[in-house]
Amino acid sequence: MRLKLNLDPKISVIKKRLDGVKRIIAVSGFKGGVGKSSTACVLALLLAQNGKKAGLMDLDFNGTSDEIILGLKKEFPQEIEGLEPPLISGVKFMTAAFFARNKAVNLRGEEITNAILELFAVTRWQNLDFLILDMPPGFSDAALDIIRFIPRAEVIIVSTPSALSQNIIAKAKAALKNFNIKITGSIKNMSPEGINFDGKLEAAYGRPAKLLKTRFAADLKKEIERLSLY
Amino acid sequence: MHEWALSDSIAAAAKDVAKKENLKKVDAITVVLGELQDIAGNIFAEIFEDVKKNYAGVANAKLIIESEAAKFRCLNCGNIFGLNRKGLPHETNEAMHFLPETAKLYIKCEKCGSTDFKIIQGRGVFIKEIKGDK
Ligand SMILES: Nc1ncnc2c1ncn2[C@@H]1O[C@H](COP(=O)(O)OP(=O)(O)OP(=O)(O)O)[C@@H](O)[C@H]1O
Ligand SMILES: [Mg+2]
Ligand SMILES: [Zn+2]
Repeated sequence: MRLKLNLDPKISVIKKRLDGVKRIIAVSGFKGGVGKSSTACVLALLLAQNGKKAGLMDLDFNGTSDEIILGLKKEFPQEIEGLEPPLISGVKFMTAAFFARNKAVNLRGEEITNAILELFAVTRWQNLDFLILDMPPGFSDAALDIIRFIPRAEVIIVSTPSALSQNIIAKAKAALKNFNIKITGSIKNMSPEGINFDGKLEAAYGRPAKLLKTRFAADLKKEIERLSLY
Repeated sequence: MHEWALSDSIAAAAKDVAKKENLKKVDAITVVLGELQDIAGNIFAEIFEDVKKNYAGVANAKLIIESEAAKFRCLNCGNIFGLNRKGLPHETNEAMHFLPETAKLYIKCEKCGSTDFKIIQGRGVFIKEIKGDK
């Protein structure tokens, strides 16, 4: 028999490409500018410093920033049966910024899905204890795609003490429950109840060793312990 | 080879289709390679001969490769245009090879100059047809 199809084959290999990854954690905040990217990057760096095999993937295609926070230089993935992410200060790192060269991509819904499928289908993470996903703001196409393609992903929610942020978090938690997504925990940023405001954070961007010595990192470390990720 | 991962996905997807449709084995897979991603058909086919052995029911499948020209539709002025690689640097072609969506960084509507366009065909790899036995 003949089956006429219009089938994207990449969906079929995503699970297999992530076989060696123990936990996949999406760092989400639903609101913009709450510290998702800073948290995702420093979280990956802290896990690696603590001897864990850590990977980081920037899924905020329309505004990648992890390459700035980590201080990406000339590193580029190696082509071996796919793309092997380079190691940046002990973290395996994948981002569309490798291909976008300092330009901002303007992707719409379906294009984001295609880009996510492309990167997950070709990236070879090998064995990881943690794969950290830096998510774009909002209950975005990217978030829905991750829920669809990687249902075992867990979520860490980053918020700030602002009433707006807290309100959105409450709605997002209810939505995630509907999707059966595990919420690993919430982290309050720029708050004395979680990660304090750190006026020296921005100056440490681009230098992972310096980032690890910030108050931001020290506070996040306590949050990692509270969430039993070590 | 980055193509390895994509060729491997063809075999994996064919196996999934076979399972879903209760096919005992897959005889032929027609794959379309889009101009934008610029994957060399001969390399792709060569890798497939190797990877298909790892997928039950697909090991004897024949790969038929078709190619498709890239076409874009400008969302600003409606113009439909094709891919013109003339003058594109090597890095740009490489970027589109790994992530076709980056075309939006390097290509503009030929009529109005907008980068807000839709890739309407010829993006990358997809399966067009599968032939098999129940
Ligand atoms: N604890 C903190 N102390 C001081 N500044 C912070 C703190 N957390 C984040 N910032 C600053 O807030 C800004 C936004 O941070 P970041 O990019 O990590 O947030 P984001 O949620 O990823 O944003 P976006 O929604 O744009 O992706 C940055 O300038 C960052 O330096
Ligand atoms: Mg961010
Ligand atoms: Zn136009």
